[in-house]
Amino acid sequence: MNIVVFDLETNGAGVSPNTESIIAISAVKMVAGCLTVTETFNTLILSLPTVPGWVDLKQLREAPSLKEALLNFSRFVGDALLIAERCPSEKMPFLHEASQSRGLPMREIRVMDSGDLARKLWGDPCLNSLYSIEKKLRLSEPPTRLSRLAIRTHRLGEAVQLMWRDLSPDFTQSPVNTCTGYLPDLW
Amino acid sequence: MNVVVIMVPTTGFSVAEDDVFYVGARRMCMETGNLLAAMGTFVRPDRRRPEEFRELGVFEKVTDEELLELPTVVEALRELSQFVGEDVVVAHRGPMDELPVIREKCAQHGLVTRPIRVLDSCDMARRLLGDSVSMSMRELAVKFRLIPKGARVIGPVPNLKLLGEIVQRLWPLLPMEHGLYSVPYGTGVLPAIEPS
Repeated sequence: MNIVVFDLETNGAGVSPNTESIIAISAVKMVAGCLTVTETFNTLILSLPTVPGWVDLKQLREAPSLKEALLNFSRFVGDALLIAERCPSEKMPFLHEASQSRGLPMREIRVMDSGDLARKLWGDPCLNSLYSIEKKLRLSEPPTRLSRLAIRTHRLGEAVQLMWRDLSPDFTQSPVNTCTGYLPDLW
Repeated sequence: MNVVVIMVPTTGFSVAEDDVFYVGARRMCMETGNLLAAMGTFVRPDRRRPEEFRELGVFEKVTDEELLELPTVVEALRELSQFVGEDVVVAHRGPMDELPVIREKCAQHGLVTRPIRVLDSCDMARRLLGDSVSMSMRELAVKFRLIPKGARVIGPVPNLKLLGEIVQRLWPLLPMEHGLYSVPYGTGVLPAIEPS
């Protein structure tokens, strides 16, 4: 089973898909339960009403538009299972709203909340955030040359890898229920 | 303009694993602030067992037989869709709370859906009070003096009523831009309405 773990950053507090824009997407691919080093996806996105201080303006000038970035991301994901922190309720609404507002046709994919793995593994219904999961796991340090978002995504990837391995060591089937999500259609 | 304020609480954080336990809505006229109609129903457990509901503090005093008499989530969402009709839906943090849940429940049960327009009452509050504000319903209710500071509103029925009152207070304060309210709509889905 191929898995893509991702995170995104918006130009706001990450609380409103209707008023905020996605400004960066970062993703890592897991193949047969292993995080791949080479298959990563990191993009800044052009067209920002407000730019946070951490954004490199030189890189930003070369960044793709949101429409291009969404299509690139969809291509990177392919038919993999998509996992993120609060994926169905927090990350997917941003991707969905951004795709719809740009008139992109959508395709169905399977998505999973990393919190579902944590709640199943530790039996705690209140476990929800990456921060609380990190406190339970001892994660290795990611490479320091990565951006803040990429570091966060790498950590989440490691957390997913460890939790999934404890729940279902063979990585052939999902240890928790998945949801339906939508990404831009590639055709 | 009429809007329909909705509340679709679930038993936990998980869109995939948790159940909707209540579906409620109130149609309000924003010009007069009048409540025009209301619907609300508790919902039969879908994926979780009744014992799990009770462990989570939902339906603590309801017997298994009484639970079986409640509508299913499919029936409740269809009723909600009929009730909403073509009106705009308002929900508090709806794009990241109610709407992903409704979208997933429709997908889980293979329901044909229709698009709806959605306003987030949290967006309304941010438009008025500053972009960095992310106010809970309780904070907004205290700000509008609908409840005293420190008070808690427990249960979906009083919370839906409270959300309606918050939206009634927010709406007349929203600035207009080019004759339109300055809070952007989002999109969501509800089950398609079957022809009667």
